[in-house]
Amino acid sequence: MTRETPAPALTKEGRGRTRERRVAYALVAPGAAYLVLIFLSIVLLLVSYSFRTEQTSRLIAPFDTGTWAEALSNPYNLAVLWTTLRVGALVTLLTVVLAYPIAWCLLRVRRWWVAGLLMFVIFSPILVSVVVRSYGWMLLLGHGGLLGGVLRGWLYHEPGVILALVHVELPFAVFPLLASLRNLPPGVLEAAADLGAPPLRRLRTVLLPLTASGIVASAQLVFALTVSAFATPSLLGGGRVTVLAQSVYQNIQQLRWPLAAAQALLLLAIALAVLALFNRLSRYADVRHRSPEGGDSR
Amino acid sequence: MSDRAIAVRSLSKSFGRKDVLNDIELTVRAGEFFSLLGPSGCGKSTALRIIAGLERPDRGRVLLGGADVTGTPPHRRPTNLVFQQGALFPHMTVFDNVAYGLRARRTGRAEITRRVAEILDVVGMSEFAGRAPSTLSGGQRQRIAIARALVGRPDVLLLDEPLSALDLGLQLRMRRELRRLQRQTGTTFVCVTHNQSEAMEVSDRIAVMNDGRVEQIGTAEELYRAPVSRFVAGFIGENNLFDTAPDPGSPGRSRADGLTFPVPGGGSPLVAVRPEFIRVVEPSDEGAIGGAVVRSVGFLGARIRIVLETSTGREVLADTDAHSSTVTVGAAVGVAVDPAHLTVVPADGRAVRSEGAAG
Repeated sequence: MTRETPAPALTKEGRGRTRERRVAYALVAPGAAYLVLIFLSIVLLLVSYSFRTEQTSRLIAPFDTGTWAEALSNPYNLAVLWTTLRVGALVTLLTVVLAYPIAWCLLRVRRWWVAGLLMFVIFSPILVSVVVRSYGWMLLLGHGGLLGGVLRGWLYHEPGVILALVHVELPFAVFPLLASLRNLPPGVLEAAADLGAPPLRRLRTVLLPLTASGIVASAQLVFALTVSAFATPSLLGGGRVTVLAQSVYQNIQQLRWPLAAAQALLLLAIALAVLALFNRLSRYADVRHRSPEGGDSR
Repeated sequence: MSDRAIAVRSLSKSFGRKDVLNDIELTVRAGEFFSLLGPSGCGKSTALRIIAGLERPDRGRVLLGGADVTGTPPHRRPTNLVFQQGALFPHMTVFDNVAYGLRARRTGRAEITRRVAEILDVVGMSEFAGRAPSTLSGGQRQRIAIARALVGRPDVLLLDEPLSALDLGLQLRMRRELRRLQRQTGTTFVCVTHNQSEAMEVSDRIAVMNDGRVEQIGTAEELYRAPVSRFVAGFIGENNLFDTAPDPGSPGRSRADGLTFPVPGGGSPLVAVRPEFIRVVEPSDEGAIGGAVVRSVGFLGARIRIVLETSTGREVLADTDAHSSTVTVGAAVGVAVDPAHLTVVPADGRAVRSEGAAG
């Protein structure tokens, strides 16, 4: 009797587990189907648009690569592409560099209400509409604005766009950094100090490598959000700074559907390429983290 | 280096409202294996971290080799700390972990290779140089942590509960290992532990700490034979403690729990008698200081542990030779004590300040 009990218990447990899994799949299915189907159909539609030509506001069928040639060779379009990449890279760099010490301090605050207040201050930008925030920056940077004197000429130029975008993306950069800093093994920074490493060396040899995955995740998120930003560059760029998202919008307005489609796909490609690149980087960081774990690698 | 490796002077520290250290005085001699022993929360780890420079004292000074380092940051102190959980760098190989301190102090490449190989050999981990810490066992990790702290040849090696995360068998082996390393390298070791047998086995001297104060400093034997406070008498080894009162009938004797103790000065001292010095005799025996009933008899191997109960219901522990004892449970017996092994504990041990008191 007593000997037989474990066997059925095990099967029951196993059966329970498969059932659990099935329920989980069932719960995920609608959302996943929605995301995948809509995303895929839109991408396919865009691909088909980008290879057709448009005549008097109507798409005509024949296969044509002229749109892609225009998107990738026309100097104006290339300039837009380059601006998008440059703004994206600069905003990502600045945001992550600013977010890192913020995340660090957030974890070090002992008093709960100070921590709560800091959290609120850092994450408050998310609570306000992007359009409102951008107008706020326009007021600050504009003629007679609080920063208009110091940062003269930033409004309606790239620096103004970058400044406002950094502000918008900062909370998103803090999240992944907080998570990875929280996972820092206890004592390693003290050990580094104790072994004679001054602060900068501790940062370079211990803190940054051990939080690399968080830095990469944070950069991925900020870059993806920045290159697809529309409202902030439109408002603060004042028409002088044009990024891909705006260009897509303009082309749609001018009923140049194929070019809009090609540029939208380009935007997607950039985001995916950079995500992949960062993933590579994060795996590199992980290899440093774990490579010898796989056994005797030497 | 001067003869005094570490001098800690009237050190105090509190976290918020809690006083963690209260006017601590310590002197550690060069080349000594010194332990800070006490229950958890007694402040021993904080004292160690202050010596390492990882914590700042509220008051008091820390001198290393005669130089005042109270305000010196940890990376400029001639001390290295072995952390409780090892705190190895998970993203580095064993070699890079051990080389970390040498690289931070800009040692030459060839010198680093030589010294890392040398210290890995000393801790018996030479084959593991290329491994990641996560692939090592707890004991191996602790060896690497010790090697990493020792490779820079610190004046003082500080160890924060270095063996507490290991299983018992490994702990016992690592104790001897620590002692061997200390002798072999001639380094001053200061080890924090809550494990009294560990402290007693490996240390030259031990400071017993309680509630943020140093209760007594001495060799294991001094602490065992001549405790200067109630806390030390009760904390080190097992003890029978009696709060006595003067015996009105006979001067030079004090009573507690139905037993009469020969106390030279009389009065009401705290009397301590180790279980091994309590003898179980016939009730009518001349040497008996009182009567008791045998409550239980336990076989411990070399010894038998007898639990007695006096007329007032007080439990008294007595250990006897396992091979000659004939005590039976429930028997009425006499309790005898050799006056030479009766310790009178000073009334207020806390008033006795640090060194000199015991040694």
